[in-house]
Amino acid sequence: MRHDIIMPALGMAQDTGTLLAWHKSEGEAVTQGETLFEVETDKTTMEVEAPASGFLVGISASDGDEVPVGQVIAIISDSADAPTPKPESAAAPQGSDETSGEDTLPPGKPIIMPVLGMSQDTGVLVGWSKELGDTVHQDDILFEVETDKSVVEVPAGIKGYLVARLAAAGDDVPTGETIAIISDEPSKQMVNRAYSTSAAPAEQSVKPTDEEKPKPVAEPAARVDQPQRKQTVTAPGGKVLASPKLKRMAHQAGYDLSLLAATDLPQPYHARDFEALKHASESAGKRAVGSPSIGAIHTLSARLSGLEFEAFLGWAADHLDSSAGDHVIAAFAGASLADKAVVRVDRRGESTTYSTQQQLSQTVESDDKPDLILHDLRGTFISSAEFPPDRAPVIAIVGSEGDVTLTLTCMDDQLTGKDAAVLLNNFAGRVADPLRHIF
Amino acid sequence: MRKITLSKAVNEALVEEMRRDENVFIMGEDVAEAGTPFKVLSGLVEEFGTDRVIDTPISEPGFMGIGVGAAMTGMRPVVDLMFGDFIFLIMDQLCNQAAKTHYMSGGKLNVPLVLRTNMGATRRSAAQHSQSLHAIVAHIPGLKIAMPSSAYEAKGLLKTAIRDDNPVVIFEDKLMYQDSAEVPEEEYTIPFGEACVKREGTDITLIGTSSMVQVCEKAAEMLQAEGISAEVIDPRTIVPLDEKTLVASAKKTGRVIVVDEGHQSFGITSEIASRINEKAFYYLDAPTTRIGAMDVPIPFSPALEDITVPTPERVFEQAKKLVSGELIDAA
Repeated sequence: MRHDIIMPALGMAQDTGTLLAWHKSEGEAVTQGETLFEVETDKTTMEVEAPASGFLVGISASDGDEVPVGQVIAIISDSADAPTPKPESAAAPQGSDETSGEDTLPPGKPIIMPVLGMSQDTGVLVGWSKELGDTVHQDDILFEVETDKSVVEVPAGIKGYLVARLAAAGDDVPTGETIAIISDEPSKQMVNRAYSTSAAPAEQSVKPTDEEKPKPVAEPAARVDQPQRKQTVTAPGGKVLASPKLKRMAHQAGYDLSLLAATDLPQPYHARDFEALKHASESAGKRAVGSPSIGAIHTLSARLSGLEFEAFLGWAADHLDSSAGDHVIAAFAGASLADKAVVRVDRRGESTTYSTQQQLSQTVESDDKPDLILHDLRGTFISSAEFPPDRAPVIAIVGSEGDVTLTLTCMDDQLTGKDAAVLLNNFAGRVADPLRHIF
Repeated sequence: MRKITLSKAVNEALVEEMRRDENVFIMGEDVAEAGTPFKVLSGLVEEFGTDRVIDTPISEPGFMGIGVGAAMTGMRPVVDLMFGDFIFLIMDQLCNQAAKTHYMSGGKLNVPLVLRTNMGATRRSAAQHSQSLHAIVAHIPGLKIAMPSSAYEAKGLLKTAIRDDNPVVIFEDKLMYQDSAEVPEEEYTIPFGEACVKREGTDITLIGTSSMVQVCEKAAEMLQAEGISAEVIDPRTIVPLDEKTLVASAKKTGRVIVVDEGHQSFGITSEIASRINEKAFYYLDAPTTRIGAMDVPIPFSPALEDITVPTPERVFEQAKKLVSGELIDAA
């Protein structure tokens, strides 16, 4: 059985590949899976493995040659001295393999199963968005792919006519395999079939040697849920490897060792990296002041009159069988955050958690984790309070009926600055004018 | 200062102590007429006679037992065990009797016995005459272990051992008997439990015992050529161990290699490395590593024997790895 060895398509936008080096020579015996040659594209270098065992014959490209994608560059034959028909050198459609008895593919540009994630080996074709023979434009969605992470719509990338669909909905296709052909001209010889390995343009398994795999199409990044950003290299388990001495020095100086991960210093870190850590810590300190980052803390205050609220509490005590105002204030705060929320009220050393709803009567005590923590310091001598961020946003309430101050503290990953402002404003509005809560 | 061989230094120590104290006597195989196979005791029988330099039959358990009994009854025997490998023959006399008599008698009996024996490979003596077995006796409470690294230490430590009221085992490296070093004419002793900083350095500490001190010093020379400053420390006695000096050096340099000629596993290197990790952990910038003899019987083949025990090259390579911050992967 004869196997054509072609220049593989490693990326959608790839027209040619540079043959870096043959690992095998003419006539040499090869075993399936052995590295045959190395290819360099504009993105990466890859080793191409032998698709079958046999003898490598008819090598038609030399080290350093730039070869069009799809061109046959050698053959794996059953015998070393088998007649070696000179492989056709035109950029023929991939996989045209007369001897295998498969249907002949129309000429055109191959569209491959894109690589959408770092660890993705295959993608499931969810469905075609274009019919055979359709005109397609670059930005037209050609098909949808599902990986273990996301479903992605893949645009055609080039314009022309869809003349071959080499996979059907539901097919699990290895990345890099051709699944469609787009031609400049309409073709009468169109192919529509399910994916099968024998029908694949070439039975070459492509093993990337580099972390960075080729981008599937020209500009799919914006549509891809999993960004293809290069991952930061860290130690297993995200642990920072550092000598005990450096750890002690960092601890004594109050520096965070993980800041070294942003530098290009190799792990494990040692005492000699202390200067770099110091530098990283100092510049990180400046950044934190300059612009909010993920770990930023928001602190907002509102001052208002509490007269209406006191009056409302008096009314509520009379009409709602409420001995304390805690559940009212919890309900006001909870409703300012969401339709349903869990609010913990800390008051005079006691903590009570409420599950709140818009209707005051449905605000009841709860054991759930709070979404919001209130420190109610009204009626104490404390005139101003600001609590550090907690497991949930914190609001300190100080002052008396005439003058109440609400101070909200939260981490940016709990509430963004905008949401924090909305929460505090809603809550302040309800306290200033309790009727708002009802409307 | 005059230079004498380690052999001569041991001889001098015995002569001086035997002249000082008439209870000191020597006993062992071929110690009198032959003066031991290493000629360490030449001339002693002429001065002190066969009553104090006693040739015994070839029966290590027998004469070791006699030695322990003599020590319990007021004598100060220096028992000569021709090869350290024979220590397995006297384990009961040494470890069950000598080591424990003071304890078992409620302090009424002392065993002021010195067991002089040897250690060390690369003499082409094959697996049964090349072992370094000090770790085996160091494990037994009640025994003190001295390991001289030169003629100076050999004399000073032996004199201290003879004057000690407890059993002491001295391991002399059999390849060092002809090595010379500066030894004062005047009387001196070396206290037990006091390490000696042989060479000061700032980047890495090399702790070596016995002949491994020389190995460490050679490695330190090689490291200096690479701009690495190595400190070399000789603990001199394994029991008692001068932990303070070793830990202080470890804290100073932040990197330690322990080198010993015994087998690496479960040996002296492990014990010292472990104490350093316990007491200097937060000052260490690299793992404390060990270099001992490979865990194989010492080969007779010269080519193999030479690489079985630690060499300056191995210490040098390991030190470079630690100083460069390479990740030492235990795999």
